[in-house]
Amino acid sequence: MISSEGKLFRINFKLVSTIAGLLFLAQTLKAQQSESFIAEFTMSSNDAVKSSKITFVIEPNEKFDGYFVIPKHFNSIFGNAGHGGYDYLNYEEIGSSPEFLIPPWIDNDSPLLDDLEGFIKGSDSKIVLSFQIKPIYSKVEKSTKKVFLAKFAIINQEEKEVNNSIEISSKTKLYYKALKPTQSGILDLGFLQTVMPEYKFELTIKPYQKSLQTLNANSAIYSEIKKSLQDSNLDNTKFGLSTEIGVYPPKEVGLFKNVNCLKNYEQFNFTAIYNVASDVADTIKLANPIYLAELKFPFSLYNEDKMKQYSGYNTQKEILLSNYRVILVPMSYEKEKLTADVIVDYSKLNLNDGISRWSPFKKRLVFDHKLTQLEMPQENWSAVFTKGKDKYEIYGYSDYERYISEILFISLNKVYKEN
Amino acid sequence: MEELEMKISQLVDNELSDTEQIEVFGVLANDEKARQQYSKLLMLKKEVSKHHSEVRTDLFPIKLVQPVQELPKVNIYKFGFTFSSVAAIILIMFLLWGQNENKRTVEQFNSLLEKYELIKAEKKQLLNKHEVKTTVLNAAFTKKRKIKKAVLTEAPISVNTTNITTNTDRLRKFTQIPLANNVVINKDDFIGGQIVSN
Repeated sequence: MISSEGKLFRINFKLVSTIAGLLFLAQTLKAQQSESFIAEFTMSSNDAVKSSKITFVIEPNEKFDGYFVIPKHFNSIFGNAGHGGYDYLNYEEIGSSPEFLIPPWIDNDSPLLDDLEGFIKGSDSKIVLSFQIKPIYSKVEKSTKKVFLAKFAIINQEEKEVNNSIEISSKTKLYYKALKPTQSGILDLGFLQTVMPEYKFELTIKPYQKSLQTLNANSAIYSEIKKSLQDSNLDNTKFGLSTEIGVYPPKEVGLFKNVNCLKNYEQFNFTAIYNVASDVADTIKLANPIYLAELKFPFSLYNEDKMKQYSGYNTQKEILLSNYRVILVPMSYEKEKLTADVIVDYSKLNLNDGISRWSPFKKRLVFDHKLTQLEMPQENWSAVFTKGKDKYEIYGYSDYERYISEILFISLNKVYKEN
Repeated sequence: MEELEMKISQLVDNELSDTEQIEVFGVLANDEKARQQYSKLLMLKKEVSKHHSEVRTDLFPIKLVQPVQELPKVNIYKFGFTFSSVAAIILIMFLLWGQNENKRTVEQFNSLLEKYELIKAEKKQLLNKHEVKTTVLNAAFTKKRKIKKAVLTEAPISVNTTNITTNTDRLRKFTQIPLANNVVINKDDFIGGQIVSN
């Protein structure tokens, strides 16, 4: 009698402890599965003249699909977050350009990546880099160790004119990688740079929490955001935003030898911001986000003599660095039209000397799914200073502004998502 | 007299034969003293019986025989079993609930995928139906962007002469596309006024 009761007790104990263990495991798994990440993937030309950055929030149990495209006839880089390769499925070539098919994506056996579909059709891309990245958790190492399974496909097209006809050959290379982030979230893409030596790649993926997304602004910008928020009655956020800053020739077109020398930097997807903090320790918490795009790129003078002189300076990489912040405060989104205040705060040089040289501005705009182009103001600024042994004497108009027009593009994209 | 008392006593104890009982009853009918004696003996027998019925003859008291102390032990196990069963059911429900949530996410994903496929199919149909011009106007955003860039960068500059012949149609197509919304910054747009010079 006593021994059977003891046995019953032991069975009960084992039952409860096993189920508790299972529950704990399930909760851990659930916590891991409910983790979101923010990814930033940048592809830029080796000379840093062209660059494209894709930002993307990887929701739990989702993947980060996207692609970069380098067109055949000019060297810009276009980035896009989306499923599969560059979608030429609905694309029709018009006119006499040849229409042809590139072999479809090679089906793979990986259960994680088996849904990568799509094929490329068209003739105006020189290089397409498509990718798919999915977070997983290593079973071998610590359970919290994140690993990102990634598939990359590089499609290269070469066009030759043979006997009055155009011969096009294309090569597709596929790579499967398990990428482990460093503590700061950087993932090593050295293999891509080996395959495509004329480009640079940067990929960071960090844990993402909405409530921690903060924009730090000076008191003037903070006050303008606050004013804009008073007019905001946004109740629909089913839209996406992208931006780019490009440098184009104004009237003096002849000054440029090659259009590919012109700068172009883009960011696909703005970052949703839920907190705004001012430099006087004031903060605003937001129920609906405002949006931020931050474009950082090297500054080039178009006064060639000065540029040659400064290229030998040790400090030039640190000084000749531009930072453009595009802040978008949505007012309303109705009938596929977004009304928003666009605030642009920018600096063309990284000086940090407390002198204001470039005027931030705010403009209320209505976006209707077309590309909006905003001509950046030409400003009469100067920076004459010595940094270490290096002496700089830069006059904004005569060394830069008169040669070019800077155009900021903002585009509104439709987003289909479930509530 | 002693003999009669003996007989009455035997009658009370039910020890007489039928004929002897008739004889004794005959005597009792005629003798009042004998009847009193009989009555006393009956009373005495009743009391003795009562006394004996209350005397306990068991070697151990009932409390020791019955597993009084073991009862709570059985209750603890029963309680433990019930508790763990309930806990197990609750935990299993949690597990199922978690699985359902994943299921819901998968369902949402699938419905989104279906939606995406529908939209894609719809778009394809539209593109097939429309004329070339309409197709150009309805082209995807990325294409528009490329077109836009081409207007700005390619058209005015003759960089690569070999490309020009192959791109004649493309350039013509580009110029047909209306320019996107143009925005110019006015003086009033500057936050805190424009910095004049420094």
